[in-house]
Amino acid sequence: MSVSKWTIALASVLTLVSCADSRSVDRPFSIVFIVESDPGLPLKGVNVLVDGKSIGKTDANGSVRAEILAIPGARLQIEQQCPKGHQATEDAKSIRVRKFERLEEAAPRTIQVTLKCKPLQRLAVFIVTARNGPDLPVFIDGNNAGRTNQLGVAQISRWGVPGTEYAVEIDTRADPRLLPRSPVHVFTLPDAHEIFVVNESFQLQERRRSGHRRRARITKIE
Amino acid sequence: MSEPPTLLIPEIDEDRTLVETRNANLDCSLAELSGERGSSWPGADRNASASRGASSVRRKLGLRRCAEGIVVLGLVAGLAFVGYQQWRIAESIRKSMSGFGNTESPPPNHDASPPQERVPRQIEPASDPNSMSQETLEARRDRLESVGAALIRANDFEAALNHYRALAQALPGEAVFRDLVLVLQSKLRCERSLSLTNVGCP
Repeated sequence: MSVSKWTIALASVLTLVSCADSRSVDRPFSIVFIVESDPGLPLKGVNVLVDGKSIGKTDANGSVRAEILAIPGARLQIEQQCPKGHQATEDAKSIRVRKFERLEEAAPRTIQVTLKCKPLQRLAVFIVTARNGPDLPVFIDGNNAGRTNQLGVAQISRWGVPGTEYAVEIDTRADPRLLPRSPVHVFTLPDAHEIFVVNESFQLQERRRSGHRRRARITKIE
Repeated sequence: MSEPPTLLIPEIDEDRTLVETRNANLDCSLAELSGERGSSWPGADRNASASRGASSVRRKLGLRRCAEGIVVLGLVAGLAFVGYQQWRIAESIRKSMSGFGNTESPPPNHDASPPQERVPRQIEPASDPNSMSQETLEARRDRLESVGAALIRANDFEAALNHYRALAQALPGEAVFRDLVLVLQSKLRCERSLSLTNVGCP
């Protein structure tokens, strides 16, 4: 009885030791970090930190590869230091590394982690097409931004913080016959580069005859 | 399926003759049939009515085979005709498509503006900004800008990107064309990532 008790105790101790041994050993994990400013747009020169230690800067493809020694199941804190004019979309990212191998694969799989560095400013391009409106000044937020060409087309670009409102006005004061008079279009810049199309069709108002007043026709009613 | 059934032919005699038509050599030619009958039925004079019945059955079966053959031939000819027609249609579509490719015509216009208002969206070979001198370019700039605006209005970003890229190269001093290239690239990238990953751009 006592012999079997000892055997069970020894077996359990051995099991625990073997388990603890396998878990406590650091294993290499191959991780590729990809930094994008917009979906599909890689960002170069971003410093990537794992548990506070720099592993390198991203290349022209926006990627940096690292071999990290970690205990399977451990959590790693990932951080990116975005360049000027960019901002990380979230604080530190946390990933848990696990040992995962497939029988048919010789080498362990590379882990891929995508990080974001969002631009602080976005580009707004205004395409103005004014039918019957050649050579008209175009104002953005009250400032003269350009003129329409002989075919009534103008292109104007502005950088702005997402959420900025732009009031685009086609100034018709030079030709009061044009209707509608100085139309204004308002646009809000989203969190992406955007093209805004201002499509205006002007009508030429006929001038009233000034000077001689038309004599009213007198109809005699008897 | 087409095997003729075994027939029982009644006889005047007490015994009955069993004719197995499966082994009979059937042919379309009646003359051959009669000749064959003579050779394969030595006791024909004794059993005349039986042989007459058998020959009529053979004749019928032969005719049926012929009809079947004609139907099969007709089907094959019909299929061949349909195939030929399809090939002709495919060839004409291929020709017209290659014609489109040569003229670089833009995709169908989704613009809601009336036809007379539309600016011609096709980038003519003569209006390619890269192929022009600086003077010609300045002179035709209004027209080129109008074409670019029409491409954007029609949501033809791919063509608009090529157009403004050429304009930005030809007029490097104009920052707005470079900006337009940047925005169009970003929009096209978003469209591609949306189609691949189903994740939209911000």
